[in-house]
Amino acid sequence: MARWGMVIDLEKCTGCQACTTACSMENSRLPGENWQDVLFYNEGEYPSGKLTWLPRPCMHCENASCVDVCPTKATYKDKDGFVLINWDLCIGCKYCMIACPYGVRFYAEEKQKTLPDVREVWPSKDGKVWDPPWAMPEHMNDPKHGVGIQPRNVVSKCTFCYHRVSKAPQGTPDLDPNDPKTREFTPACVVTCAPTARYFGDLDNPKSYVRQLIAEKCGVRLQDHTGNRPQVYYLAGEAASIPETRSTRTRKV
Amino acid sequence: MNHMAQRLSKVVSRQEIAGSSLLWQSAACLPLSAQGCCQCAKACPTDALEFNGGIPSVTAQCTDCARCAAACPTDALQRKHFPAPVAKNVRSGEPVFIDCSKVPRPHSPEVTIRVPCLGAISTGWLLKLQDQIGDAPIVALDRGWCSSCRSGGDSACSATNVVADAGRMFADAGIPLQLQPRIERHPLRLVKMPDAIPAAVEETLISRRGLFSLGFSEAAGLAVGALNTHGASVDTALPPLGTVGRLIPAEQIRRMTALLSIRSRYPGSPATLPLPAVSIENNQCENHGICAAVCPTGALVKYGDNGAAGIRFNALLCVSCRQCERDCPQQAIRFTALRGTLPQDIEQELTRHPVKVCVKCDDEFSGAPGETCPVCRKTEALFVRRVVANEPSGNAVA
Repeated sequence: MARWGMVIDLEKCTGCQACTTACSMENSRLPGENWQDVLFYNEGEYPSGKLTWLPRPCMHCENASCVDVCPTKATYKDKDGFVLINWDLCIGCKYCMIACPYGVRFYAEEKQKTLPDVREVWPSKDGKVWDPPWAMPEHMNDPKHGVGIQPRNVVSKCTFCYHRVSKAPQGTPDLDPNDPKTREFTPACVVTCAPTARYFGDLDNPKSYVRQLIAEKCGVRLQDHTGNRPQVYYLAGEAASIPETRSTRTRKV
Repeated sequence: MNHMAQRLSKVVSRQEIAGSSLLWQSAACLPLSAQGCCQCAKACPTDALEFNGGIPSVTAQCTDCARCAAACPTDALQRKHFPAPVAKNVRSGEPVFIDCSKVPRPHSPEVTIRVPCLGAISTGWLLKLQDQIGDAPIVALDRGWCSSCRSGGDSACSATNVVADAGRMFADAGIPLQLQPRIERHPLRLVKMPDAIPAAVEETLISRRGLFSLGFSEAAGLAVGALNTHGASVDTALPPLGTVGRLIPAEQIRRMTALLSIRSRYPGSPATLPLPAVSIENNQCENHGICAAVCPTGALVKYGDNGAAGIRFNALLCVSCRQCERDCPQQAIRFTALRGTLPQDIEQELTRHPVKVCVKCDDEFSGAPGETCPVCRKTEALFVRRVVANEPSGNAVA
């Protein structure tokens, strides 16, 4: 039993989109269907306006509204804190997409925004959305946990790299990509993050570094007023700002 | 849904439920796609039928009365050897009797269909029989045993509800009163009642040819054969079921085809069909289409044409599961049970929204207010400044 969570340090994040690319490669995402995306937005008015950005994975909320609304119980909260979709049960009604306050759920049957339509370039023969040449090995497809290439007409979302993290030994406090023992269990976006802005660990384990970070650097959750209680925390530090509060926050001494 | 259809297509044949004479077809069962149908379990007089993980099972309490099968809107449950709604030696104007199979055979009149239980007759079955026998009325025989029988349920005679339903439908459809089915009381002494419903095989006297055809139909998977005997012909003037994996509302189709067929013999009078109705508040609806997605039979479908989009409803396909009402995020949808519907109103448009183009992402959307699509609005909302209580503002250096 763990409660996996992520900490994203916005002070370190450079908005390079390496995480987006790593996620797409790891999970064979369609172009544009970025489970992990970096949103860019303008802050302030001319002449003091500036471009800022926000990486946005699935928040794997403790009290996820998508889980509550699912009419077929296809979306569920795993005992280890993942919010996952069972593609065998999903009927593609998209209720979860409406319910999610973060907009991190995707439905692949929508109009393709990039050309060419890769679903036609690499069509699937077995009812999947597409059949890309760089897909993960067949045996790793896990529709019960929403891992792999999804079948048609289902909703998909970030799994916190369930296929990696779930193999971590019991009681591991942190999944650190720099530690050879835990690197293979670490989510793809965390492994690839060049400025090491991402941390991944067990929020319930008192020994974990993510807990320490959240406490020391005043971790903030997005849209906290919705009561979803995300398991992804953002650190603003002095240099960055978090859209939720737009206040710069510093270490409590 | 495609993979679901593939998975389900493997199980189109019916499987026996251990400990009963019931056959179950998982591909036609509603609890798999809609939560909380379970009409069969509600109909069971002894609470013997249970659903565990979407798969039905019976306890030792099962009396084999097949009331559950009668309650099933999609023919997912059927009883083996349930008599087809056909009577032999019918004389015009003289009644056809329906009798409980517990009644010793010599006590039944000559033209009788013996059913496992009078409660096991569905309205569709009764109407279908009426259609077959022409102008002979149907009489259900009340032996006064139902209240003492384990399969009896609450009412004095198990057939009360279904006979009343059929009568009401006949009245609404403008079919002459003398054709309305009725219950006649012909009490028998209670000591003659056997404990259990006689096994179906002993009950049916079949010819050699009948035996072979029965054997073949079982071997070839009862799905098709059972549909024919129960008379749910799907080839009537129905719209094509667009989505793969959608269920066929067999009971409703059986009712309506029989009703329309009977009615065609009595032209002239205005007629309404007893169909469920659904309405959507156009102002509240945001055209998410969740109702259409969760509808197990495809009665509700999304449409988009000529710069407008919305929901269309086909009352013939509705099985009254009310899943749409439960799942609407706007609570804009209202369900009304069995309303008199004019034949031209069977298929109708419930909502109509103009299609707009999002100013941010150029995607088409409909239903939602404003200029931006719901997806873009959600992303925007992530960046809205929000005042959080007890939060240090500015540089909160202690």
